[in-house]
Amino acid sequence: MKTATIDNQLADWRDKALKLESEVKKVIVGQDKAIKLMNIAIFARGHVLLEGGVGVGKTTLLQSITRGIGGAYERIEGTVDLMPNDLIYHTFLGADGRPQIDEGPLLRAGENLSVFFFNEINRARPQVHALMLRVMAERHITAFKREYRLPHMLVFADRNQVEKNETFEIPSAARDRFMMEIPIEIPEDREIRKSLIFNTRFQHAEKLTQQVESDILHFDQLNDFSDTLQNHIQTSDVIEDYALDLWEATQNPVKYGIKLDSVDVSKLIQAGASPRGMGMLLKAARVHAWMMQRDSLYPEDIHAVFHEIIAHRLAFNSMYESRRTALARELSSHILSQVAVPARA
Amino acid sequence: MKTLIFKSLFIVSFLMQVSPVLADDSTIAIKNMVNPARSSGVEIGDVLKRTVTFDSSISPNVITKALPVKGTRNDEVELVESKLERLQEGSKNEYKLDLSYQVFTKSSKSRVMSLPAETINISSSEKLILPAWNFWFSPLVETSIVNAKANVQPQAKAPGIDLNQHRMRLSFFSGILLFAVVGLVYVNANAQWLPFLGGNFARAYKQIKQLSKSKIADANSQKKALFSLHQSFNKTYGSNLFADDIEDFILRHPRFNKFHQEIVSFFALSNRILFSQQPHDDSQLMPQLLAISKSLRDCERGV
Repeated sequence: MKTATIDNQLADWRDKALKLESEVKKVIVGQDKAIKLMNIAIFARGHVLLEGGVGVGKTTLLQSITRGIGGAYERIEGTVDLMPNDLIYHTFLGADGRPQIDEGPLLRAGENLSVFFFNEINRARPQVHALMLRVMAERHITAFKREYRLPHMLVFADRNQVEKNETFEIPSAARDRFMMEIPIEIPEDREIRKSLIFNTRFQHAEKLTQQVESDILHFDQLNDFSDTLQNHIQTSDVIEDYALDLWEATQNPVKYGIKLDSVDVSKLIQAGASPRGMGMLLKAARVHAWMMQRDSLYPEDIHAVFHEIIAHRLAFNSMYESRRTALARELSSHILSQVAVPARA
Repeated sequence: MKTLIFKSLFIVSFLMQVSPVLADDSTIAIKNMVNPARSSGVEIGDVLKRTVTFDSSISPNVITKALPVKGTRNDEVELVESKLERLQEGSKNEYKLDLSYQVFTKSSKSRVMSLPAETINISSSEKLILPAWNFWFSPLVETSIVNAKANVQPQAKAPGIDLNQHRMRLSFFSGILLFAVVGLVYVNANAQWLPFLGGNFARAYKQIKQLSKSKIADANSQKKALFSLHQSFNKTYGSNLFADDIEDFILRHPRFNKFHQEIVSFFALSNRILFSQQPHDDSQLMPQLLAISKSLRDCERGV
């Protein structure tokens, strides 16, 4: 009876997840893979780092998703003079001419906050990063002599990889808090590009977002369902061995015969994936398995999220850091193509 | 005078009557004589035999000496054999005499010939008289019998069989036989040292065949068999091959296209066994793996 209930629950939520995906795809074109990954992150309850240029539709994408999830959406712009307290409160002169203090974007919506968008996070100072990362990990903060709980909050942060002036590189420990780093790229399809610049429906982002059906997922139920989902998906000893091999390959790629052009692989890696990162990998992979209507984890589930979860966690030696994005992608691809299931058979 | 003449004529005529009677007294009576059954159609070289049975008091040795000599030719009929046999012994012996004649004549026309009359003087008091026996000689050729020398061909080597033609056929069929044998070996052999038999799927097939000999469905053996086939796919593909990569694998190796469905089924089966908790029929797994690995091995060899 209990199994049947869980099965129904899983099926209902899968329908909702697919509906959210299709609703967002109606207004955001050419970003199908990113939308799918963000959907996975939502059900895996992981924060997401978005990587992409300016004006590719990140905000519209996030607003659309927030509308589908339900709950409140807050946003802050990363600037060089942004201070941690700007996230907590802001001061202003009230109507009576006296100074007043109000809750900042992080606290304003309280427990209803479902999506917090940190635009250009790499422009903010490390102090801001520290606060943000703590909130991301703990999902609560103490201010105004009380504790603010943010149990349903997901952070979507964007970093602009093009501009390097007045930016602060996010340290690897901070990057590790984000479950995924998802590239938001300009679509290559010529028809989609034509549509984006000539179709007038894309001129008004707010109107566009309104076309997404609201409250499809009910943000306040996602945590519970995520636990149910994670407990439901089974893993075999073979897939566990495979995941361990993949993890080891991120730390010691030479052992698995991985070679990259013009790179001394033995000197490439400073630190591989962390236990938290591998945990997040399996968490996201389980969500993928559930979306594929399976109750067991397959290698394909891991592959579907491997690059987005592992690449930004790899710490390269400084001589290769400037080529991090390209090398990380190449390395993760080689790991998947070289590490067999199971490697020790 | 007249009386004297008549008396003289009487005495002479009497004597003339008596002399044959005196001669008949020494002639042996022939008890039986058998001449050749056929008196016509006799050809050159035919042997004609006549048998005479008679009684005589003379010993066989004496008679034998009196017989006509072998080789005696008479009117182109030659005595080729004479044989005396005593049938009965007594005061009067009974003998059987076999005389064989061979006809040698070059007559080109049919003519009457005869076995010669023989008078065999056995002793002064006994003689055996055999009458002549006529027969028709029938020549072999109508026109003439020519001297064989005129037709003699110079001695020549007998024409041999043309071996070139047979050699070509032999080479051709030997080639086909060799090709068939090599083909059979190629299709059925497992040994990796043979050329073209060290392929990835050939190795997997060999290992799975080894593993499937165990009659007990062993989970460990099943996993090994699955991994072995996966390794073959990986090596052929050049990197890890997963279910999502099958289309690309077929694109890179179109010869496996005819097993597209089987490959998809294998990956589904492998995923179910290795990664899911779903129950599966253990007994059928190894035969399935054996079948698909053999198909892929054959495909790899181009069979």
